[in-house]
Amino acid sequence: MQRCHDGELEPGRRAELETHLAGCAACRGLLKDLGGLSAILARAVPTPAPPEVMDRLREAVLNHQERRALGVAAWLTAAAAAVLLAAVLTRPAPTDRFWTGPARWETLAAAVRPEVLDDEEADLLATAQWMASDLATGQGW
Amino acid sequence: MDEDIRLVRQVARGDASASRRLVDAHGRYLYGVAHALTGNPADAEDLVQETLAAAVSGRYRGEAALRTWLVGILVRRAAMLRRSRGRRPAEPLAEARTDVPAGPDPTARSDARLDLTTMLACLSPEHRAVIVLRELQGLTYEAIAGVLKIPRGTVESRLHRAREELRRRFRGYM
Repeated sequence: MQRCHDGELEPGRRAELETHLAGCAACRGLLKDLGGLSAILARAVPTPAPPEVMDRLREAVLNHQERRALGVAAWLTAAAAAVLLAAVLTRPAPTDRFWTGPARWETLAAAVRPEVLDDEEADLLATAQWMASDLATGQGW
Repeated sequence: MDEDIRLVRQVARGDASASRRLVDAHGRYLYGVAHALTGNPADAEDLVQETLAAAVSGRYRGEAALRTWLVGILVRRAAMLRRSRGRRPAEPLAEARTDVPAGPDPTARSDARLDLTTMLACLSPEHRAVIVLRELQGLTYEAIAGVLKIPRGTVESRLHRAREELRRRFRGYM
């Protein structure tokens, strides 16, 4: 009866159950009770949140946002610093006109797998990589 | 659900107005459910804060409606809180009333509304959790099993026992 009430009856059992219900008052009563119980639970009134609780929840979520932003900024700053350091260390001598590219910064920047970042973090990491690329190829100096 | 995802992404990006919309849209409901699960206003508030923090972290991927996702987190955190305090599983809420009248005042409306915390107070925490997820959130047995990390058969048996108890206590209201 519970599975029937919750719509979890296996396919093909419904007809069998309906045949049974036609001749069983007790089961019909149980099904009716389950429906009645669901109805009063659906109407039940949750304890209201006092206004001061709502104020504290808003403040807590804002604080959490700020802490998260600081955390992401700190991580990206560290990542960008590592990328730039690698770019500076591997920057070719000014006389080398045939230097093919900053392989080491690419390796370093690729150490973080893009797929673990959310959209915002991925965008900022790409920006850090472009900055390092510009510096490595001598642009912007 | 696209709107839910958009809201959570805005919140995760630090949009303060989105954060307020999130709390205003779901905070009251979550508090009511948390209060019904714990019977304790302070615990309810803490649970809701932790639950909303999960939304700020941007982990929501639209796998269910945002409210359903949040309630799933809330229920799991309530279970963790209980375990951390070493509360015995079968203990009903001490803080909530259990002396509900056998039936409503005959002169009252037949669609009178009961207090949710009072209704669930007679149940064990495990039974409260399955009733919240099934009756308030409409989750399937499989989904409830996934949220609570229990076998589907356990979901069914807990629901059955919880409903037996609620039917016994609230027969006069049905």
